[in-house]
Amino acid sequence: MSINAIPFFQPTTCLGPGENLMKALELMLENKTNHLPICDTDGTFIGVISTNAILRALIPASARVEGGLSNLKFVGDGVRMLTTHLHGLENLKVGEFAKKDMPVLQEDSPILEAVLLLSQTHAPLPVVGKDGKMRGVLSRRALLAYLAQQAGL
Amino acid sequence: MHGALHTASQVVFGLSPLLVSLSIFVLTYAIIVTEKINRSIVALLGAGLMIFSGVLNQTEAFAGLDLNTIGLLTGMMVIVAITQKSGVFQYVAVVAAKLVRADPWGLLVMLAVVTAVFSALLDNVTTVLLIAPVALLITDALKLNPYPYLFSVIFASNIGGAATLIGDPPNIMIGSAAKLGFNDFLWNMAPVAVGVFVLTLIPFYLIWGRKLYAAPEDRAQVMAFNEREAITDARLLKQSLFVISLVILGFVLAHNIAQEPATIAMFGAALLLLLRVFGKGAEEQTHDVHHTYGEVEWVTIFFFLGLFVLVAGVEKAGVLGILAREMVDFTGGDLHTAAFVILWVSAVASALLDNIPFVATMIPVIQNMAPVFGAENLNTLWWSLAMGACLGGNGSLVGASANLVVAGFAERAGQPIRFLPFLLMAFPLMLASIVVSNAYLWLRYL
Repeated sequence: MSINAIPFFQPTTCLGPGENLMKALELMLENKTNHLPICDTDGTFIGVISTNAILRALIPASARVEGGLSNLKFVGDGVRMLTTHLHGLENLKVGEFAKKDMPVLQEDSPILEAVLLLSQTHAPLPVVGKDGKMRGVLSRRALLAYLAQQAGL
Repeated sequence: MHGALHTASQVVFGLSPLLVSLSIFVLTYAIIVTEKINRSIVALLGAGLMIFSGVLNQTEAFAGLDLNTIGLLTGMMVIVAITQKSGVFQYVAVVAAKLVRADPWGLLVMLAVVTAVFSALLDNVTTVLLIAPVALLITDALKLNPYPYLFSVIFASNIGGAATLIGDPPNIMIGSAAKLGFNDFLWNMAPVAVGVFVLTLIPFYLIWGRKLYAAPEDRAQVMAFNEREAITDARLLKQSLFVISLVILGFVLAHNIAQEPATIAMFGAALLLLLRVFGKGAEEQTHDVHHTYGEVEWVTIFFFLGLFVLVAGVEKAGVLGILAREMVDFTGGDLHTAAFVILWVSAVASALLDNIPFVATMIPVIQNMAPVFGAENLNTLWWSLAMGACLGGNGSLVGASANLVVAGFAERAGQPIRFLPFLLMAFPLMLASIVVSNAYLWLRYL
């Protein structure tokens, strides 16, 4: 049986890679979600932007990059810097902060494959069709709910 | 680095040793310049060819290795590898920023001073590797363009490195070959380094300093930094500072205690390793020591080893003797002219190429000039070479490893330092520093 059988969450929004991070943040807060898929204009899946990526964009670049500061305790609460960076999200493109190398589920992926892949990530996984177009997002909870139902719980 | 080279070369196919050694040497340097293959591999392959072709035998190649340079470099690398974990660089940078109440121009000067002092006492690459992120963080908090700060960190590291025996690898090599100690460098190089440093701040002020502004609220944020939190390991910090002080004291007293710098640095490294692992179990000791040795820059060490053999090859074949005679002829046997030519050629060469192979080659060339200028006058030429090679590194982004380290970090952090804009500003500033060095040479030694 493939994951086609699971009623997975239909994404209401698929952001374009040129959208800014502020827009992504607003949508995440509004929809109470940690992840948003990113697609081309024709709906081809590109990657996922997460709240993690937004937090990464907020910390000072001096700590974000390889070889940067590993200890920021001496900076203090840093709220002033963080809010400044938050306003700067408008100038950052989601395409640059998106995670693109994640595993992707096919519409006809077997259920066991989906369980395996989702057990190895901390995020829901995108589901794409044979044409590479975005079909939806499968979350760990949706998958478990389906399995629980199958087990007659 | 020569002296044990007596046997006649038995070069393959009866070819001229002069031609074979020069071909290997030029080819190796040419490949190093392209940067297509890691320089340490190229140097070791070239060294191997020098031996296989019969220019040198293995004994002669080993005699060419300057183990005093290798020992001093390795010892200091071990000490730095341990010290950098303590957070002392970040601590000092934050204290310096707060001393000037996070004033933008004051901050630029202070970060430059901190970088210069650390670069003079430790290696330049580690210094900028640890100072550049702090500079970026503080300018971030102050909403300032980090470019002037990163630029001045680069300049300060090369100028500071010029000041002491241990500040920059060319100085280590020169000191070892010419038997010049820590105090000789401090007495002869530090004054010019301080002069160049202060004078370089003037254009920095005119170009950037007077226009820098930070809002009081942003400065207050930096003033609220708690430098004590930057110290990640207080015990390690005390151990490191203790050993570094001891090692520097050793360098200062080297002449009195009749010891060479390599012995002092290696002993310091061993002492710091001992303090580090004291009281730990065997497994943890192995892990710590293994990790520390792993942080020694082996690429640099193997590069030096290969270069020493290459240079020993061309030296034995007589290439460097000819080069020395040509330079003497060119300068008309005049010490003034020779000192100035060495200074300027070293500066321009070091701005565009790696200064380490350049200095490795120039050392025997200058030694070969002793009969003409007299051994007592050679020191002037050594200082010319040291000033040119160290300060020349400021001329372009590829002039010194520290420059590339800062540029690489800035690029990753989204604040790229471009080759051409850097060159257009750095090269004239570098030339100005060489004008100052030239005047210093003239006034003090000629």
